[in-house]
Amino acid sequence: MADLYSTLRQPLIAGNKSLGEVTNDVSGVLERKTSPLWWRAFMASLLFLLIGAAAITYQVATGIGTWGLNRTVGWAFDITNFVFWIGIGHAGTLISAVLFLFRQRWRTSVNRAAEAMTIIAVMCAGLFPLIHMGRPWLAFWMFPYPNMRGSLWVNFRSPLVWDFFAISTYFTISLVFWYVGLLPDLATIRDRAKAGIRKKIFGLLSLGWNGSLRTWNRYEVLYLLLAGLATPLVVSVHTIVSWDFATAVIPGWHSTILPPYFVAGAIFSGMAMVLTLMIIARKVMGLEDYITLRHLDVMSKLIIVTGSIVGLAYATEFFIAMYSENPYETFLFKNRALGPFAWAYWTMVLCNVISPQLLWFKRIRRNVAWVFVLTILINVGMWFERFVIVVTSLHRDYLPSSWTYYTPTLIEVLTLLGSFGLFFTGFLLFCRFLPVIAMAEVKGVLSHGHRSVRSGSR
Amino acid sequence: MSQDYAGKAPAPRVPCDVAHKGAADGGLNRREFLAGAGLTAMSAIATTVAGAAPGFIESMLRRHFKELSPDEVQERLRLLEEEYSSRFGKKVTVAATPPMENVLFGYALDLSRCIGCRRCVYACVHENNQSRDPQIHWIRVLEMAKERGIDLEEADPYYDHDTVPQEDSFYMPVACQQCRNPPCTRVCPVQATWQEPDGIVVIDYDWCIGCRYCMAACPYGARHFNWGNPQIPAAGLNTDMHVLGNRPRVAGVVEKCTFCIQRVRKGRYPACVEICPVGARKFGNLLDENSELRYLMREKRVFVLKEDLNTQPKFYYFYAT
Repeated sequence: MADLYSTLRQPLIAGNKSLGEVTNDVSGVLERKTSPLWWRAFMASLLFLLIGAAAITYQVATGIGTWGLNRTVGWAFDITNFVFWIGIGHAGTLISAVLFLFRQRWRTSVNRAAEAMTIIAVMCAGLFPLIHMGRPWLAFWMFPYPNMRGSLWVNFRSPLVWDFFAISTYFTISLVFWYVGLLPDLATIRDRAKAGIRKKIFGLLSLGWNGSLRTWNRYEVLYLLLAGLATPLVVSVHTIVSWDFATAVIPGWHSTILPPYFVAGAIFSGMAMVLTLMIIARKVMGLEDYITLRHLDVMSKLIIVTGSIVGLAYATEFFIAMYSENPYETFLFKNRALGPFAWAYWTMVLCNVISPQLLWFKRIRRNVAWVFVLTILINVGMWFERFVIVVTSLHRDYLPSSWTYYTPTLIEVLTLLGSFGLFFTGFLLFCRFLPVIAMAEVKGVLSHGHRSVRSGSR
Repeated sequence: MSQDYAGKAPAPRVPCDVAHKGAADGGLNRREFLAGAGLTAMSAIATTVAGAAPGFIESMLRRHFKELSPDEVQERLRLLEEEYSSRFGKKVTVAATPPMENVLFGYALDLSRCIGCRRCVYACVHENNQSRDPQIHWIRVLEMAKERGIDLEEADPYYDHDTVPQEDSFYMPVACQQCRNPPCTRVCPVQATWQEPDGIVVIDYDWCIGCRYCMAACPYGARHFNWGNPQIPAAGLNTDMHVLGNRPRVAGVVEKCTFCIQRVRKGRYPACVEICPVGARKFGNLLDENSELRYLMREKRVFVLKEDLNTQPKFYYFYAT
């Protein structure tokens, strides 16, 4: 009966929710006792985090010799993980800022969680450039502030310094944007809290939100401005990360195609990770009415678009190598596809180019299990994409006498697992203490008009 | 409508024994956990600060070598001398000899003479205090087949014969090419490596953070990383040191050939030039028209490695015959 919609007016939020029901659904979870399932998931994530912390402690204390790197392959797992996590951190701002400016209102159901994911993913990403240094305790020498250590500033010509700016800017804006978006919901939780510490904390966090017209007005203006500020960052961050590679003279890195290719790949992987998380969250937290099959559908379409750009980029790289007749480029791409790391290359192609093609079918886009499996595959594929770019370009460089193979050590694998531990620990904490759905925004897209359908008076 | 996390119990107001049990499963409650974690973190920081090696805190606050006044340089040298003298039980001198006026160092190598004996490799290791375990070699000698000419794809740096030169092979030592347009210095995020006025690309080991970007940028594989603590026997230590050159390095920094900066700035030849038994290695001032180097560039078939990368090396290979 409730399905009597024109396709044009299909509601974004199912179940004909009232405003009060939305509030209850979202903030009720936070007010109940912690469920055993959450504890189990949290303990498992924490275990991984601790394993990762132990691996990092051992590595910092012993030296980077504990990694499988060598003189030829000086970057491998570290930079792969870094770019992977930064890529994951891209969907949040895209969903919250770009889609906001484009008035894509389906974003309201997923933007909060996507932004939280972004922030945690950027933290995971920030970890890797730090620990991959020979002397990580000196990392603060990268900070460009006029300092007591002399008037000599950092090397502004180094892409690593640009990286530092890009990522810290992105992190700051994402955090502020996320927090500003949280304000009305924090106030809701404050108002629902009986008394005591909960009321105090959320009272402090909601910055005296009183729901007046003026508050709302200021909030909307600020939100729009921040969305405008954040939008260029969606493009800039991964562009600058790609410059780490593109400005070097190494074949496979030294390419003008890298910035757009990286940005598309980042959105691709970020969308996949949002879907992975939201599919779990909607099931576990009972949010099926908020994150509907329609959401899965539109996000899958975004995945097809960005995935196609990525696939095109893979093909273009080969075309450039062939057409330029640059012997180094030609060799490198042959080596990628047929050399000792061919297994990584073809894993990447299979996961990133071939498997997403299934999403052309509506039946698959609207099938939770299929989408879940495909998003996991895409994440695996995008990790391998970075691995392929970093390692296959380095391991056979200009001097064939230096060619080597690279095998990660246990410490590197544990560090990667640890970063997943950090990611899920952070995300679970977010799910437990903050509203996962942007209540205030979702209330704006409810299908109020259809309540009459349910009462049968149409 | 709403469900809890577990997706089973529908009622929010049911007293959740389950949740308590869940907490007990984990073995500790939230408060204990947070207190424990906080305490661990605090004590970790405290031990780090208290247990830091002498000079560690100072090293964190150190200033860049280029920013030191002459007095501060002398003070730094004195501290380094003390440190190395006590560590190796030998009198060590650390100098900061500045570049000479109107000097641009260049290097030339005669491929028709080199016999692949690797004496230069080990002379370099001893002169420049490279790590013996793990071994770090700044010079690598490539063995190639005469009939194929310079075919780097078939080059072997790990040849191990009873006698050299092998009849059908020739040898090509490769070290830092001391580029005029070095890709490595440009990418260093903290300006720990730079080109000196006399053309030598140096590294400040105090300042290197070990990100290895320079190694990725260098097309010649000339930069080497201290993956672990470098081991140098006191007996084999070269006590004549330069602060930007052969002083002992620590784990986690990059190092490379400096044309033996501690020797050449005092008018001596690099160790590899001195040791070469066949005189294949030539060294001199590119700005001096009468130097041997300029003669070779005029009279011989000279080439540089990977010319197409526009790194403009100051290291020239030539055939004398």
